[in-house]
Amino acid sequence: MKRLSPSTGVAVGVGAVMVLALLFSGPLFEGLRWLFLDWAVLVSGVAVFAAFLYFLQSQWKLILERRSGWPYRAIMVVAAVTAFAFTLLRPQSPWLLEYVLIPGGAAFLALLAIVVTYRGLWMAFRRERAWAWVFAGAVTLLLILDIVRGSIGPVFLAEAVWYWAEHVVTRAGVRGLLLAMALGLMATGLRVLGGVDRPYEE
Amino acid sequence: MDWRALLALLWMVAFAGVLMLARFGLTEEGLYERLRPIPLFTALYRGLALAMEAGWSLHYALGQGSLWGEEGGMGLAGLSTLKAVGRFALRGDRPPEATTGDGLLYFLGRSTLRRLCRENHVSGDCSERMHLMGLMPWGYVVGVLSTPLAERTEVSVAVGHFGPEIGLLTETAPVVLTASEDLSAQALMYAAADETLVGEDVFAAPAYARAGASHLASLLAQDVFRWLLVLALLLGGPLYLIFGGGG
Repeated sequence: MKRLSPSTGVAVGVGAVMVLALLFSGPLFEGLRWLFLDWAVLVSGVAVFAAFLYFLQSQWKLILERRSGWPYRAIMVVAAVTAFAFTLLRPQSPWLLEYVLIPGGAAFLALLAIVVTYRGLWMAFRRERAWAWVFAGAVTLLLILDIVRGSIGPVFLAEAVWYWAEHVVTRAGVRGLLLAMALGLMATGLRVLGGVDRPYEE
Repeated sequence: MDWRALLALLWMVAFAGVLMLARFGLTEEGLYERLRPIPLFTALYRGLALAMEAGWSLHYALGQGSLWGEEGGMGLAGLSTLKAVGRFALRGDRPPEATTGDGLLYFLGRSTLRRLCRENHVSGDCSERMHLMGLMPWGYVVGVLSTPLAERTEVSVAVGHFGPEIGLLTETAPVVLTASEDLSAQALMYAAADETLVGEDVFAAPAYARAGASHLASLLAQDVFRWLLVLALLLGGPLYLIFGGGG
């Protein structure tokens, strides 16, 4: 049988302790759980910082070599360094969040709505599948119902259909999907716990 | 001891038991034959192999999720699929370009690419093909869309944690496969992508790409336990109505 490397041993051991700590209460498990979580937060933070430095280094190299799109890369590096410095100097300031991230996100959501509507209609026509039409029909019906509810207030039938769609059909579907995905997550976790999946090893 | 914890532990042990039984009781071919057919994968991998042999370039999006919480499982599944899909890309001697928006996944992705190239005897450092693109969801998508990477990408595969922002990724190049555990992303991609995986099938990608017997065994165990869940739900509903809080 293939011998496990020290890194796999550590990963499997820590994983097993975390699973037991999640399932069983007790001071020993609780203490270990928080200790490992603290370490994980620390490692995660360091990884983000190191990845940021790698990003700057690789972009800087490409800019110096005048590779295609270098002006865009230069803007990206300046923006990244400015945002990093600003956050270091003014960690409490909501400026970046309020004036850059939220408006930017809202703009992208608006763009996304148009892209998806267009793509969705195009796919429904192109695929010629029954499910694509069911999907398009359901979206159209729910949109009409929402407009009716929003513009002329609660109408008995519209309310009943809306309630049924949201609380019966959607929730049942979502629960089914989540239960099935939990199985997938468990399988993935068990493969890591068993040392079969080792993305941390080279 | 809480009975829910005991039940969860029993469920996990039983799942691990079925997984081990499948892994060591059947050969890889035997496992593959027992999988339920998902036609999407057969067509996808055949198409991908042909595209790579024609020298097309592949962009693999690992997404935004960290290894925390339920997103973590999808991140790990994304890494396994990267290795499996990467083998197709190497048929055209062009290792895939991979992107992520998470620091930890970035390093794990570098390791995966390095190992992929070493195992397939590709010269050079493939880890250089892993890119970090913005640490926020929209920043990640903008990074992918705006850099020269988008211009030289001819096929995209996206397996990992994505939110609704995945909808904009379809604008870069034909996205042949998308898989995310996020339900809003699944719904969105069902409407917008050529092919998308829904529900637990998002975890099936490595098994169908023949990433190894353990992936096939875990998918088989997943299928067995899904039927157990269906049975439990069908029996549990009426029992709850009769004895639980039905009245």
